[in-house]
Amino acid sequence: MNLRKKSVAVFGACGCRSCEQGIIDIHYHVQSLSRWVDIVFWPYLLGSSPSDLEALEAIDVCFFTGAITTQEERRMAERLRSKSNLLVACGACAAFGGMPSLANLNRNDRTGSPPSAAVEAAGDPTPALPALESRVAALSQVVPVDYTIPGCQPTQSLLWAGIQALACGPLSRSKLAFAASRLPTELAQAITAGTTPPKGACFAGEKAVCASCSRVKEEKQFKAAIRPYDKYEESGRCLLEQGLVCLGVSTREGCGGLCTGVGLPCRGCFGKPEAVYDPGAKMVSAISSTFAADKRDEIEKMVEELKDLSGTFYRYTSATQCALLDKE
Amino acid sequence: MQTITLEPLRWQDDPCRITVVANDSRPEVYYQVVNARHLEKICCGRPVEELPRILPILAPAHHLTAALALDRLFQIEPPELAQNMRTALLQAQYCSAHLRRIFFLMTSCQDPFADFHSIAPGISRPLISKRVLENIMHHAALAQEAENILGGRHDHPLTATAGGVSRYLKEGHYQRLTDICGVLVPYAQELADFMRREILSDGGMLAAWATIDIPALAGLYLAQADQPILTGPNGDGSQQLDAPQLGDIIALQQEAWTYQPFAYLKEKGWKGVEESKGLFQVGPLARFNAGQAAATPLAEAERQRMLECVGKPPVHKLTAAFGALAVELIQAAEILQNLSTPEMLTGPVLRSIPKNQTGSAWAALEAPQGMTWHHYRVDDDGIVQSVAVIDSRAANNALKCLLAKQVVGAALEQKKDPAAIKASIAVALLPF
Repeated sequence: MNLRKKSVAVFGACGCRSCEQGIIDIHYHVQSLSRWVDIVFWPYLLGSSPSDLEALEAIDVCFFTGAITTQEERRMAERLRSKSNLLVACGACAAFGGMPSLANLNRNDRTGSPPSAAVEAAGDPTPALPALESRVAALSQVVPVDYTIPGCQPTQSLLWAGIQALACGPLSRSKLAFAASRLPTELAQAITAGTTPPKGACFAGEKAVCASCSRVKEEKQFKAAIRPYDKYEESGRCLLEQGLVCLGVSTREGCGGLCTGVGLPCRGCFGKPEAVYDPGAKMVSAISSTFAADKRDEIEKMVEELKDLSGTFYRYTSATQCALLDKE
Repeated sequence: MQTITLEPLRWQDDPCRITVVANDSRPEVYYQVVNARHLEKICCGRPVEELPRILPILAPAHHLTAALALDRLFQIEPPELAQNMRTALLQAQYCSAHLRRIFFLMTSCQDPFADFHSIAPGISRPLISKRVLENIMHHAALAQEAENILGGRHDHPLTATAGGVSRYLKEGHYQRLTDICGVLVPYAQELADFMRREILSDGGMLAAWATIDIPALAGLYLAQADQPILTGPNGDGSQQLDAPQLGDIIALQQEAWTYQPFAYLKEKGWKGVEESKGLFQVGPLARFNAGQAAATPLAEAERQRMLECVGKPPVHKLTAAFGALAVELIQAAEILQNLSTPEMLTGPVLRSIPKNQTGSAWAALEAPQGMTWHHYRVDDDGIVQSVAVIDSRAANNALKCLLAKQVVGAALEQKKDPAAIKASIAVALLPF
């Protein structure tokens, strides 16, 4: 058995640092990572610079967080891809574009030039900024990705499952049943056996959030769409059946129904399950079959009541999972 | 003309770097945020009630600020239970945010993953023991658990909604919150004591930064809810600002060399980072330098001890900035403890249901990182038309630029190498 510690890199592009904080938390709250891995590159926590990355011969596993918004982040993604044996898109921003990619929905005034471009052109000595990408992108739109750990932020159990399966490997003595129990069979088996999971795997469930949501579906239909500030039953009944736009049916499970558990509709931070082609199309289908209307004017009224469907259906995934939106 | 780039800086919320442009006279130092968030583009077009779930992309406390703005937009008063839960959540956020910064400070001379084999270049001093670091993060985990109970999640909280909160606590939550606070309060005192002895005192960990003066800027903080107070650089001339009009009083200046705009007082004008009279700062040091007594007895006792250790306000030293974190940690833990009872966190109603909607609303909150101000304008359907956010990123941007310049100047005089200069700047910017 090869007992060499694996080298691990962590990089944060455009996001909120929550995914990186989650890895720090794993180290201190769950398991001391330095027992299993050598963290060789982490700009946020260790101050590692691009030249430190160039000095590294190879990286076993890279956890990449955040969306790609600048050309500098694109270059870092490419360098990390070329240096890393395994590249993991960690969190909704890296995996699907996340909330930063909502900016793509307002593209009219978006330019690819930073504010410094004009100054630089005029020969001003003030330093330049990295140029903006023409659109916010997920990691997989820039380089090939081996694994995905979804979520905003990923739950600690799934994050630990990913780190354990990909970075700790056979060195790890601890096997977390609570993480494995929420994963697809082949992933859970790989974790418990200490082998590398099949490439392309997503560290989350296979079904939709509804499968693990604690709310009761009564197969009732709603008569009017309501918004989260309107009156509804905060606990108990399915939120969609009460008229709230809840994305549980079009979202991959793994969080345990976290948002619906506190009385709020799911917003899809785990992306779509494999069986769903387009989360927005799935939601249109789900709403259509849950709304009690037969007449044209009733349907038109309901459609009027539903606001910002693209920003809601693709809150975290507009860069990657909307079949109708331009992805180039 | 020679250019040196120091990147990246550890622990900064936004990816950033320091660029030093050396010319014939003196070096020009630029603190550059190298990533744009496009907040306006993310938020515009969204239903306004979604903003408490979108804006925590900036920091967790923006969740609560957004909920306060929704209360005002819909002209509703949250029930007492909801107000207490929100306040308790804010205090839990203070605890975890401050513990994290203190942890970062204490790992500034070492690689926290390397079993202490690796030491930052140019620094030689006894390292902080692993037990101390693990203790900090253990208590940060407890604070996060309190956030999870009160907010649904810690980094992207959920429960604060228009007019209240989205769910009741469960039976076991009250006891768990009591248990957490029972541990957090004594630990916060213990940590403050440790910091005074090992970090902030003469010869302590921050001794290398003793010669660095933090630029004396005016401080802005919320004295009470919705009362922004601006204190002069020397602690004098306190002036209450009109909270609803803060967007007119404070302007944002976009410079070509950074994606992060600079907040400044509009009436004083903008003449560049160094010449502008209207610069100010927010956050723990601004609150500490306001010289107000702490809100709770143990925190006030610690504040008095801290005054003896770091000096009386206004103190423009790094020791005071980190000392303020220790005092506020105790205060937050005490307030959280006072609120964590079934009496305070139960009630017949979770939230008020809106009946009216106005076209615009604002809210201000004293967040762990500093005062946060939101303003939204919406259409008749409640769809966001414009968003303005002033938070510590914009408010402390000029302070960070000036501070980086001071640290670089001092380091060049001491002929430090670039790696040591980078390490020094990272610590200096950490509390802001």
